Amino acid sequence: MTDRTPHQPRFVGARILRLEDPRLVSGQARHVDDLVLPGMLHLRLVRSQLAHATLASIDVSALHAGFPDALVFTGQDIGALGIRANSDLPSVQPCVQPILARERVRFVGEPVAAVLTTDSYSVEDAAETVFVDYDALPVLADIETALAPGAPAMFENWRGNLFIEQSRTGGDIAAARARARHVIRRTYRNQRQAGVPMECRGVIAALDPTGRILTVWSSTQIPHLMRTYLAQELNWQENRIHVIAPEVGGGFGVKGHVFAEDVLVAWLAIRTRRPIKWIEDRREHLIASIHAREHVHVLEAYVTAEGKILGLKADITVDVGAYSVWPFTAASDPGMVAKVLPGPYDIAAYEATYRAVATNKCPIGTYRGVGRPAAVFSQERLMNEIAIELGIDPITLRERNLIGQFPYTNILGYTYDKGSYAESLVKIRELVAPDVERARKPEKPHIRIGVGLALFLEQTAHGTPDFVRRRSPIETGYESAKVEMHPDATVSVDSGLQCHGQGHETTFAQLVADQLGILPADILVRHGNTVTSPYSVGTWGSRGITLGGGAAHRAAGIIRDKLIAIAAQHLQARPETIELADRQARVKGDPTRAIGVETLARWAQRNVENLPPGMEPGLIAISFVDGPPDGSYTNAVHAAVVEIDLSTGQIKLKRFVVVEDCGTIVNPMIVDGQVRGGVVQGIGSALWEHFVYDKDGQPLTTNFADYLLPSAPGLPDIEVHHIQTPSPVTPLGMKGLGEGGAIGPAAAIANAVENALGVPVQETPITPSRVWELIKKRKPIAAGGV
Amino acid sequence: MKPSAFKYVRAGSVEHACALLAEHGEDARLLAGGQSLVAMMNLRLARPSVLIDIGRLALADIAIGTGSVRLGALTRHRMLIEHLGLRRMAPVFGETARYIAHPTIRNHGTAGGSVAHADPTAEIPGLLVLLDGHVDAASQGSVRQIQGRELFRGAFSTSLKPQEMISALHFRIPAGRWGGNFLELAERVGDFALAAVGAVVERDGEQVTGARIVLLGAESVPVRASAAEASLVGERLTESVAAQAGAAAAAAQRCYGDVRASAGYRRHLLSELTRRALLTAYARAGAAA
Repeated sequence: MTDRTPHQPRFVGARILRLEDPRLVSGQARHVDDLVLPGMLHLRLVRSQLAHATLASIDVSALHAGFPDALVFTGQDIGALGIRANSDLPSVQPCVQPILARERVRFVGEPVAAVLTTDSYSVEDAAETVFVDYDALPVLADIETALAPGAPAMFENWRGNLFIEQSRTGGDIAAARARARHVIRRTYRNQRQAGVPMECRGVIAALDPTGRILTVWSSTQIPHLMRTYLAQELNWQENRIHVIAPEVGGGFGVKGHVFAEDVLVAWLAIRTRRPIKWIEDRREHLIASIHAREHVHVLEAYVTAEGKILGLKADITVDVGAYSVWPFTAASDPGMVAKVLPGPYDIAAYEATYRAVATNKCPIGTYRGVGRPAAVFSQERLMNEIAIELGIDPITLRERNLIGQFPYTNILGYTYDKGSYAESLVKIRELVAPDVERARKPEKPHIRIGVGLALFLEQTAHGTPDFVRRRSPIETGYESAKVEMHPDATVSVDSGLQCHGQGHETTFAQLVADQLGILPADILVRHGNTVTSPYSVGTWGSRGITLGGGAAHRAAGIIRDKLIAIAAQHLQARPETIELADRQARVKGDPTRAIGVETLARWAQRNVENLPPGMEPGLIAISFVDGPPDGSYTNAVHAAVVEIDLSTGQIKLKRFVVVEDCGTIVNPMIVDGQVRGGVVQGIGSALWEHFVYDKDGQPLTTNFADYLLPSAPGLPDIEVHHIQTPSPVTPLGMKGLGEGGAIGPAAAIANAVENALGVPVQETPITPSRVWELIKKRKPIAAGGV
Repeated sequence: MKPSAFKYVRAGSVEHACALLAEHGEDARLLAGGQSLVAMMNLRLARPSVLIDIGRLALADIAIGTGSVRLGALTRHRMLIEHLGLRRMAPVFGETARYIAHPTIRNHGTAGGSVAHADPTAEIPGLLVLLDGHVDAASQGSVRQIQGRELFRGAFSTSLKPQEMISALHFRIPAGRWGGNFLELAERVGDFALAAVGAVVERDGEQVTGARIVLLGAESVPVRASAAEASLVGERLTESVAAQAGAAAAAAQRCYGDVRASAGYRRHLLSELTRRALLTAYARAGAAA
């Protein structure tokens, strides 16, 4: 991949403040809920109160009596519209999620009826008066129930309650087993979670006065995909649908889906010819957006006496809830685990079976890390357990299994670009040495200290082939940017990505400023708008800076070449001798021969008679950048230091250290922020967050008193150290990093708890109650609280 | 997350509030700090048709007498931490209040509101029961006293009548050398307790002359460990005596299990926290002038 790198990068790598922050921290940012349109109707959904039932009747007589102006729509009105997220892999059993439930409901919170009034208060009162009569069906509340022989099928024509069951294999697993000295088999579980961005979902849809243009404002990470889906499902021309994601207050993958509510609001706007607004509340968000995780992995490692893993067998089951989500499908989490389990280790034989089980719960979707936090939990817990069983130091065991040379093609055929796996282990060993020492000699009899780590890699910026292999509706993985320099030499960058915390407005400006010899402040980065930006698949999968930033860099490069060509004629110099810097085009080494970029920009658009013969006017360029076929592999090692009170089970996280390598860093402050934010979410997975259902499929953790998010007083300072190994296969050597922070903590913390207690940890979250259970498995403790 | 429709009235005095309560009965709720009630209204778990705002009444005074502390019902939790007299006379108030949620909630939430709300693991109800307290329940034309141990009927349920409001809380403080301690364990800082224990120990020399222990997380209301308390009187409170008392206090409890913690774990915590709280309270009593 040839990229003309700027003569002297000034901004790439610089710690500049985020350009988007002033409006975000001062309350000037405008989110979907801030938008008010004349004549707007507010939508409230009547949601299923049962996990599994047939709809006997929906009685709206009390609604009409009490709220004569209210409008109400049910599944009978909206008909066959749905969310269709299927792939053509052979084992897939297809399903459709109705936009409003028709004969049947399949999870608590599923939309059943839509009520509209003129304000957001009365609509809640009105929706309460809709009476739904259910005939309860047996509830498939967990994996065991759903897979039990004779369990009722979740969908018509289904055999068994599996969305998908597939295998991935490489090498000779039977031979690996035969040659192994040790067979180490373990089961690991990760709990169900919610995604919980600060801003819940929200959608507004309105027709223009002619009825030709449908504009949808949605708090989404994927505006173009939403446009494509709405066009398909509503049977509208795609050029007459505009999707705008205004300020989006966090997404974490949750908002990387097209939801039933998105389609519903658009349909209602067309049907009623009134603007429709739906703002999700927190309870709805927790019970009925998407959930994440809920994995059970059974791993079996075939290991030599020296600790070399010859083969790995995995059985991966994910409770994915009631429906398949668009565009990532029900296969996303289990498929990801099966793909990434070999991780940074050189494993010559691998066999994974993965399945997605249908249950009467909220559907599982993509949440920061997508399957990888669970995969790394299992992989890195297993490494520790192998080390303990064989009596080998855990870091040494990892070193014995590490990939040595790059590029490396793994047992499934994925080629890893260059990383720093071994160096990161050396570095973390130094960093936590004092804690390892402290853990050996407890100072207080009832306090134990433990140190644990997790080494992992993350496939980022994957290109189209990776998505084609999945056969899911996502289909492709490129990104795009349009860069336009205006006559005053200011620049607009229109990215098809949507920015909800990633800092694109700053980092893309840094990339473009270096290309064009101007300042980041001269550049306005716009995003989240299908009207202004080229097609894109949106912000998810740790792809933004590498592919979207790469596209901005390349598009700016096209303009740069044009500016240099104009300058070369004027300065009577060869183009390769000209550099752009300090808002000037100048001959390298001869500062007297220079012309302002502003003059060049003006000539290109206003005084085009000054252009070289044959050159077209204008300074606008679009670039599409596809990712490398197997992506670029970011690596990191996380280390946790925990302190456990043996007499109460209380666990305190004392230290958290990250050594990460995301290749070329565009803005170190933004990288640090991304890593820390991800780590905090990973700590939440490890210690607190758990979305609980009872046996009847009723959700028990529907507010923030019961669903425990990480909060500042329980968190240590998160130390972030960087190694930069530029990727040879991406623009500027950048690798993705958005998700990595969330991937390692559960494994690192569980390993630390194991280190502190001498008892293996097979399950998250590691609550005080669970720690106490682990403590009871230790050797008997003297009375009097140790 | 919008409350159902309600009428809002701001009470100008205790009498006015009581008159409004008498008028509206069970349809009305008092709004003090609003830290629990407003959230419950937004979730539509509480649906008062009339909200009587008493938040601006002058009921936030703290009076320290001989052997007693009186808190006006609107005393904010933060004042229990910051009040100089309390810090000197009965630091267990501040020690307990620090476990209540987070600073912003402590700035708004009130002692009377917490007691009237009667969350099973709330700290102020625990303190009221620990310190043999009572509340003044005002109604139109009268005030009656309700002992803390009779006030709490169950989770979120008290013996207050619909027309009554708490105007003050009274706590009994030992007269001699005493020490107190309050300990709580929760998953996160500021969460509702998995279990909490308050202890007060009076001593004469090495000998315990009086002990009080309150347990939160054992039942749906704060409970006193009376047998364990009685067993300590006359004893030197050694490590093993404290451990025995803790075990005895916890063993007598049924405890409840939920998504947070099993009943067995709660019982274990109550035992361990009792042991620790007794030892600390005893040591503090020894250090007291």
